Amino acid sequence: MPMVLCHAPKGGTGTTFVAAHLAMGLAAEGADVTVLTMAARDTMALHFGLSQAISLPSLTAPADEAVLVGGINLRYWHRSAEDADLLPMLNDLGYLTPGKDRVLVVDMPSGEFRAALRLVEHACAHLCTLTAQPDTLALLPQMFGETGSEGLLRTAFVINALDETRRLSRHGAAFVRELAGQRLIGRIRLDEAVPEAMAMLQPLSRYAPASAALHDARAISGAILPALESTAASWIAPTASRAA
Amino acid sequence: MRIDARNLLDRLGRSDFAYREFEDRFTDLELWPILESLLRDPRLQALDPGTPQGNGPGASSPAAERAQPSITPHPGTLSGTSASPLTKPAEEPLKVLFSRYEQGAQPALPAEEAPAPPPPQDIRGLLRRLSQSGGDARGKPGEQGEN
Repeated sequence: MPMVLCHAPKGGTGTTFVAAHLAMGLAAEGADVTVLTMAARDTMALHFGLSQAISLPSLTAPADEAVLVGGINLRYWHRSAEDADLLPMLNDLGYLTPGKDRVLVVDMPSGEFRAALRLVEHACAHLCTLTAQPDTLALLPQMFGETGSEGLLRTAFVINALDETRRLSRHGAAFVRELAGQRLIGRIRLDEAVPEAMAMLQPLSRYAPASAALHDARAISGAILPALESTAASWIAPTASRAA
Repeated sequence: MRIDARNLLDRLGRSDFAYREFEDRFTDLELWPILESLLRDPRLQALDPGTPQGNGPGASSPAAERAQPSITPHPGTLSGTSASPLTKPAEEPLKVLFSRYEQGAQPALPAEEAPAPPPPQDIRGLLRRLSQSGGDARGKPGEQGEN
């Protein structure tokens, strides 16, 4: 079971949204997907149309306590993300073995960058969600410095909440596009349907099946598929959408 | 999604639509100081912009390749001293990127031949000179109006 790590240099970029829809997209491709949210205050359930009142079970909770949405197993791990037991446990549970039949999608809070660095070494892909705004772009050098060239080999980028009607947003996106090249595997357009769906406690696919953001998120799921069976240190999606 | 937008999409038989293309040519980008600052940061060099199928570092993206034919580095910039079109864009992508700003800011003439006063329509060059001379121009791009 390969692991896809979703982690961004800055909070508020939509990493949880991307992780949730990545899981949905991979599940639609027939994968057995587990989503592991590591944020103490997470909103993962909302993206699946669930109320925040529903408590997700721990990663180690028995199967009869599982919360399944569309076949996707939702779990949390709120102990320290730097817990030394986490990686051995993931390995014992079979989450670190390549193959797209079973996939673990990890939603890591932006502040847990040390834990992210540890996990990225064992992940088949690191999906980094950015916005095209200057406060996010300004953190890229720090992130690159911390991650290093080896860690960046597994990194792909997504621009989220892109408003192409705004000049600065377009220019920021163009900057990322030129910087990341083929490692930019897609963009997700700013879409009011995303918060509206959460407010309606409905998954986006039900609330707004014509949503532009939903369409874009599905394309990203397709672009990440080649990483799942890759055993190489570096991967890239040869047919990735470059709509950004 | 607003119900009127959804109804419109239903009538058009589309799942989404773009009512206008806002794509900018990369060479038309503003010289936002933060982007210039980022381009000068050596840590950004750590990112290989994509090595599909092990083609080696520096494989340029289709977008970058599309942009290359019209790009000419300005003499004295990070991309080199030649005024001829770039021939090795993949080896120094960020430097090439920077050179595009330079290209957008000033005409591609040899340094010794460059006239002191730039063309009056060269707004980016003006902003750049103001930025270099005192920093007072930082933030000015945002004052040029949206879109």
